[in-house]
Amino acid sequence: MDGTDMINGTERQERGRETLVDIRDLWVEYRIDGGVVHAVNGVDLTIHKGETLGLVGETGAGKTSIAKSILRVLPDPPSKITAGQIFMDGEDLLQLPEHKMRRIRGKKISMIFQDPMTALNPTVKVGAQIAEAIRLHEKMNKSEAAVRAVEMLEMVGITKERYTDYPHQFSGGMKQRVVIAMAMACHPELLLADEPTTALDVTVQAQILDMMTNLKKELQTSVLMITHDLGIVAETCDTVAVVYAGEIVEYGTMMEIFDEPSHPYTIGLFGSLPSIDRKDKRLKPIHGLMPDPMNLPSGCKFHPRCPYATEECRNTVPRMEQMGGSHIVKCLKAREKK
Amino acid sequence: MLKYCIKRLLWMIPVVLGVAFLTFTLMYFVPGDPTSGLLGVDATEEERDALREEMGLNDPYIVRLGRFFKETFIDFNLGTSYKTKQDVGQQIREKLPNTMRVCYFSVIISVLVGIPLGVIAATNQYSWKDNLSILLSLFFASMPGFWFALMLVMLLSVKWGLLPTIYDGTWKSFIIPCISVGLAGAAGIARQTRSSMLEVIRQDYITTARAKGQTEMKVIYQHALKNALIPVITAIGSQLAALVGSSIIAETIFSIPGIGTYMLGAVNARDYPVVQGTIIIIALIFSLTIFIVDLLYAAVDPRLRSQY
Amino acid sequence: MNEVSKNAVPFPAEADSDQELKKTNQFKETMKRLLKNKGAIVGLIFIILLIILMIFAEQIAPYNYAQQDYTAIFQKPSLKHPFGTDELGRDVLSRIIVGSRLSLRMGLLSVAIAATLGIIFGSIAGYYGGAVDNALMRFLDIYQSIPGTIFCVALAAVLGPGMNNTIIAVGVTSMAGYARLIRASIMQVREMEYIEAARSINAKDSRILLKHIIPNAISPLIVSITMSIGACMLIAASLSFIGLGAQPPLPEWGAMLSAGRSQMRERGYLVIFPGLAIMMSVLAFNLLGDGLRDALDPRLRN
Repeated sequence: MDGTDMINGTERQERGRETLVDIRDLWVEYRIDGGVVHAVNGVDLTIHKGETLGLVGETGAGKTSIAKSILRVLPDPPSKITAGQIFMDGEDLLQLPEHKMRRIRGKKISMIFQDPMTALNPTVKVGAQIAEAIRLHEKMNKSEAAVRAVEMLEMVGITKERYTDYPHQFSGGMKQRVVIAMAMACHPELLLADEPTTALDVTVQAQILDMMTNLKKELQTSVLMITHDLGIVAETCDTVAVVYAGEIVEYGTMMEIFDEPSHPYTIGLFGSLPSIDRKDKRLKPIHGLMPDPMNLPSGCKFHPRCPYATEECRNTVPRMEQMGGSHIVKCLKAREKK
Repeated sequence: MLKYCIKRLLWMIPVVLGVAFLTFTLMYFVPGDPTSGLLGVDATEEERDALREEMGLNDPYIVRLGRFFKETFIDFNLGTSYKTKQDVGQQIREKLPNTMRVCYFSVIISVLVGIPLGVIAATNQYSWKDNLSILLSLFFASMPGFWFALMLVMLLSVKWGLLPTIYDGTWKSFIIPCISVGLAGAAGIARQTRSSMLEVIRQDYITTARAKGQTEMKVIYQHALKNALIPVITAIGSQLAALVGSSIIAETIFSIPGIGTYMLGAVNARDYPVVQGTIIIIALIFSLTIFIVDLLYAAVDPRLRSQY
Repeated sequence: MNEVSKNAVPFPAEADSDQELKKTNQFKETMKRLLKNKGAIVGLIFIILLIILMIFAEQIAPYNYAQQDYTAIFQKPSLKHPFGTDELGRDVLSRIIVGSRLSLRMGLLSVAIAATLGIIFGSIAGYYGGAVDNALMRFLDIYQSIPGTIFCVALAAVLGPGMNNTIIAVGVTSMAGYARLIRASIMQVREMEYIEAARSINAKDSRILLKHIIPNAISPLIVSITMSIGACMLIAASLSFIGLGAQPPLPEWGAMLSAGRSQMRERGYLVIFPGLAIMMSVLAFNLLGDGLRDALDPRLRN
């Protein structure tokens, strides 16, 4: 890392610390046949205006559940938000009546899903799907909405001739462009991007990410970027929250996390990342598997896989430790190490 | 698309020929002949044989088959009834509308009851609404249609005197037969709608639609239902066969002068031209209906449209 | 949601080494799932009761089903005659109990005929493939373009009234579904790799058929047989009702309904109870069939 990056980093940190969305003590569970899956367990998270917040963790860590909770589009049943508050503009989204919530979905907050192949309705023309989002929130008639939808398509690099095509006529990357156009159509304040490039080819991934970054700048949108790819985090995020077993285990600016990863899980994530600088070293995967979310371990949920775990970790639930700046870590050992 | 339609329509030719062959052969090989019905039980064997000879029933199988095919498919003449000496084609034309009325109103009832029942069940999975609609459709599916019709007659006609107990030529006399046939069909459609709705509402694009801020009603009835309908159309198609069958039974119960009563009377009297004619016409109309159902697929699913 | 369902796969991929163990496990799993399904249990209990009723009909029935009593005709349901008596003073309850034999026999035998014909037909088509398959399938297309019930009514009428003729008519006209099912699963199994492997070690065709294809097709077959017992009972009862199937004075339920119909105005019980008997029996088989389908194929569960 060189000096310019450092300056960029502090700049990113300094700029606009105004809160957009504030998640407090969010709990989500899924009730399925065999028992209760604890998907999100007491998450506190703040998304600031204009920033891109990376939500990093393995598949099944609860990232998607957090995002869907913000929009309140978790399938109920089987999932249920059991506790928590999510504030936006002074209102608790979790308490809003459904008709008010509808005005927020797609207008103030919108979402991009992981798999573009299934995110579009196969029986509706793509243009109509975008126009639908517009007409729901803007006072426009059919033709005005169509004009705006064409604009959005062109913004994501799709020609207007394809307005009347059906989703199956598009490739995966193109479909994701349509999804993004739809999500951005009403210029949302917050975009929830759930692994937007995971299902795409590597070459297409970069294009989509670039396009998102540009759109975000143009429309001044905050982004919650859900990913398991630290490369994407480095490229796009200002702040990072690391999620493990439904909890945030580490939070900080991108620089803080990348320069000084403090939670053993975060360290593990970096250790399992191939690096050109460290050609000689072998990759160090994190041992073991994600805990069974129906049967979470006691104490620190990471202790069964943690190389530093002690008896204390097994029995005591760690609290968030301040590490300086905005950097916080949920680990009993973090303070000692510091 | 046009090529597909033509292909399908051309395929109906061998189907109708095959049905004609099947029916003719069946009637040829079963015991009994029309003469006993025509001459009465007192007729001597000589009299009957003379009549058989006159009607051409003593000719060999292949000759009779050839004659039947020539008359039916070259002269387009379904012949005259042995018993009533009336033109079969003319009779079918007169009776067909009644059968069609029973069938189509029953289909409409099936669809109008079945689809909402399935949607309500799926969107309220595991709730009392779901259980109730599953239970209702199970009952409709297990109930003998003719018995349900009798129960309706007992209640609506006998007790309350609202509707006629038997066909009297008015539209009112179609209500009970259509309800009893239609609700049995609704059961199958409801079950299929429920399971395909459950499948569809888990799809990402439904979450996408919700995430847009669309109202729940429109998410379900516009986005989800259109996709869920694709397998439901199959269910409707396969339900049609059963429906036509129950309509015929309903016809005989309510003495509706339709194709069903016409055919059944003819079978018992070994009135070959009538049996053959009615079955060919039923198969033809049925094949056409199934073809229309298949076209509906393409209307609902753009992926199929581009395939044809 | 995806995250959860990945963890909830009921059968993790297992090595093939312990095939036997796996099979018993699968059977146990299936039974466990079946026993969890309340509807299926209700259906199963009712079917067991029905079978007991069938076997011990004479012992259970309070009266002789054929015994006429002119002093007690058309009695309304009472303690003495819970379902009333008919025009000849016969006890309706006793007739329904004894009639369970006839109705169930019609359902079971016609399904047996349908399944046997269908399996033979489907196996030939699926096994030989090519021109044979094509010809048989086209025949089936034509065959099915006559709606089943109509064909059945026509065939039953042609064969003449009577229970055996009805059973044949219902059986013959419901075989198409089985034929298609068996053909489809043979086709599916043929494509699978382990059949290729079995071929390559020169296993006999009949052995392949027995060892791989039958087990593969058995679950859908069981489900479809259970479901169609109900359907066949319904058709058979309809035929008796319109005068083609079992003939009075046999206490077959459809025939009883048919006989009671003329008295329906004043004596509703004559049509209510036989109809309920049909409905409950059909319902029981449908419930069990539903439960079996869900238990045998967890992917289909909703």
